[in-house]
Amino acid sequence: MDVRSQVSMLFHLDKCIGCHTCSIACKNIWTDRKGAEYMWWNNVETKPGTGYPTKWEDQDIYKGGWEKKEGAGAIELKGAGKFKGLKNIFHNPHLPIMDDYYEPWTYKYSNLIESPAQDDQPTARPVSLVTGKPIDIKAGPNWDDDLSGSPDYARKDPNLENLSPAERDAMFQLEQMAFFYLPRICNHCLNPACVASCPSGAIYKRGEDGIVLINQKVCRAWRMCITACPYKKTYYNWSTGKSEKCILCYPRLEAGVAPACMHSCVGRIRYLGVMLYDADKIEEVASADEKNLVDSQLDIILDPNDPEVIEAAKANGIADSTIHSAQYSPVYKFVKEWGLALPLHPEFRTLPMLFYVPPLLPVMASLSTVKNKAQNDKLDPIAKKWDDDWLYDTSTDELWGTIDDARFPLQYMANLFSAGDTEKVSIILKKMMAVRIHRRGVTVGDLGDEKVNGALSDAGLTAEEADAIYYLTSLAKFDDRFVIPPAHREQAIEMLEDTADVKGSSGFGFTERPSRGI
Amino acid sequence: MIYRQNFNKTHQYSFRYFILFIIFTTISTFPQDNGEKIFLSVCRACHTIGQGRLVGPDLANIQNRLEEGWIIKFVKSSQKMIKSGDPLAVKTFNEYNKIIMPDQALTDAQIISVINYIKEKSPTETTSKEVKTPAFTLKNSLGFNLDEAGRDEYKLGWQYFTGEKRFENSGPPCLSCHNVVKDNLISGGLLSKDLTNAFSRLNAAGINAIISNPPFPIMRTAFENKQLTKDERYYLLAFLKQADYDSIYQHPVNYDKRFIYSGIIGLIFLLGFFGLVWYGRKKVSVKQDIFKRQLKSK
Repeated sequence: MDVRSQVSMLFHLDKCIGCHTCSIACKNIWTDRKGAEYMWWNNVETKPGTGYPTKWEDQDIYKGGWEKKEGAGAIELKGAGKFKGLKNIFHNPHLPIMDDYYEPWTYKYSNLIESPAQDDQPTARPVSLVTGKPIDIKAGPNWDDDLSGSPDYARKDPNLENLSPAERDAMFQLEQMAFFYLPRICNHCLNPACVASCPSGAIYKRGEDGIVLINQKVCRAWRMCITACPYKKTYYNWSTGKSEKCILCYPRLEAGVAPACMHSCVGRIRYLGVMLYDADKIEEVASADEKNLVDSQLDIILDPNDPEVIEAAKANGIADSTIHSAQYSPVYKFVKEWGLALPLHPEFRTLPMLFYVPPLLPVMASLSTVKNKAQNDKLDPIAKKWDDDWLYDTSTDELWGTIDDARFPLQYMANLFSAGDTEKVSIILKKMMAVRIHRRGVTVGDLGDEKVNGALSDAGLTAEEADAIYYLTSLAKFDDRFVIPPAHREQAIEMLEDTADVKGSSGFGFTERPSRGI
Repeated sequence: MIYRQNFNKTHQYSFRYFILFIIFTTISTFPQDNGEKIFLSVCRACHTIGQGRLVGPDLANIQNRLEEGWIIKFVKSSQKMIKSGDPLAVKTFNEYNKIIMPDQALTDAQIISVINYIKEKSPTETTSKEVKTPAFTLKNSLGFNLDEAGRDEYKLGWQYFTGEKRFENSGPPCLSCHNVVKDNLISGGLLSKDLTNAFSRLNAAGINAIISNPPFPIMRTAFENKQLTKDERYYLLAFLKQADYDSIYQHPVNYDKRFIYSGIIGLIFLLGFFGLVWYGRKKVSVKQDIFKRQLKSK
């Protein structure tokens, strides 16, 4: 057992409101630079939709991730690796081009204030941030937000693959349409394809917390990582000639602060915590059969309370403080204890360490026909009345029926989170539903103990577990959501510098003379 | 002390005069003894005395036809004179196929001694047709004459020419600058003259003079302190003689057009090959069809 620690993330999609605050927080801190304008280390996509860069999930186009060939035991990179890398090193044929992202732009605001008096209103023309010339804006990073341009974008979502034509059409019927948001950052995978593909050896996974980083001094712009990453989360900076990616705000983590995207999250959907895993099993897990992929990936995560694991972790040099924070990790609770979260696209075989709680809402609600007349008559004459006879029905008369006949086909969710296995998604949705039924029993009390307990036992939860899930989902405080292990950077610094050389001196002194009129 | 200083001074002066005297006598006497040596090593590569024109003109009785000062200037730098428009220099240059005579780093006295040597050896009216230049012979270390050179010598010469066998004093192989038309021989350099018919053009004597003491500046630099041995010169001559003799049987290939055509065909083939290898590449943006519909501002 080779125990290592990984700072992993959990996004609760039921709570995401698609406000893009995370993206802006990230951009303001890290990618507001020349050559990095088009980079969205954090982005929020509308699903169904094609995402950013467009159709990133379609590996027939971009050749990202690992693939397991028929008959061969070992997995290999789909678009990079030793032979393919050498063959394509001077001409990487599957790279996304600027049009697959978008051409970043600003507006020529000076036109508005410097324009002479004239018949027409002055306009601030869009100007390309790449060429500096006026452009026609053709696309943006969230061009298909909230299902805009659905025939072009949402209908071409690669996750619709195994859905029947009837199911697909049902998803896009007027008044039947539903969507949810999928925020994405780098997954800081256990088996990162970008690291494996880099011909310069510039990309590495940090030993202490598993954050995947690109060494800017070693990167030689071969851009193999951009092809190899199936999530398209490495970006090429055309100005510096180096590739860049999400750094999980490691300078903030080292200072004990949550990453900017998580800190700023309005819906509080983001959780961060340490998980311990067995590095010996990575190869075995990454080359598992597709139907076992999710289970074996969850198996690689170890129980931080198991004395054997603790001992092995200590033997591997993992600090006590890290083990301690792993025991309180909210991610561990969601992923392992409660089994509520799944990785995004496990079939890419990179073992992503960012987990998602699938959204329940569009699944549980359905539309039913009701008579609104009696209800409307009771209302005050000046109240707003609806004349139609539809009800957005969240009733739970039939416990699990709505999950299976949801507006969002389970298959679609399964294509996203469980390599096509609808059963796994269904279990999670049942659990979430059971928690709701339980809480309704506690707070409203209109359902009856038998029904509530039946729902819980059907979903395999106890009342205590349901309360704990409810607490961490809805009431969790900052320190419950972000259990950041102390980085012990002082030890790392001591290897490089003498930290005692300022002992006894009186600090750094003034860089500017104080002016207090002395 | 004063006396001692004076004494030293007197001695110093006398020593200087002695040195000057030695230098003066050496300069004035040395070339006269060496006129023959200089002619044989430097001039004979291109000139004869009374045996007709070679690369350059026959120098017999040159002292009667030209002024001494003119000869000295011309030998030191013929190109300077031609550029300055001296009519005689230009005429000679054009007459001898515009082959540039290399500048010779000889002193005035040395040139005069060569003129004296030519004067001495030139056929006068009384001794007309009599050749006074010693007949050329080159024998290898085993005592064989050039006419006796056979297949083995020719082979060795070939190896020296191509550099397959190194020269003893590590001079550069001939092939790097010179070409010889020979079906089985790789094309040589184009920096210098083609040596296919060098033997009939320059004779054994001329070639030997050139390769033992190159008059051309680049060749001289290349072989500075890397003199060819007598045997090496012998083998090279054997090779060049045979190459000259064989040249009419050779079938040199003209690559001019073939080179271009094969290049074009090769390019088409390569592009096709690349097209096949990277056939599955991502050719356009995934949003190409959307962008095509969009309106564009003018």
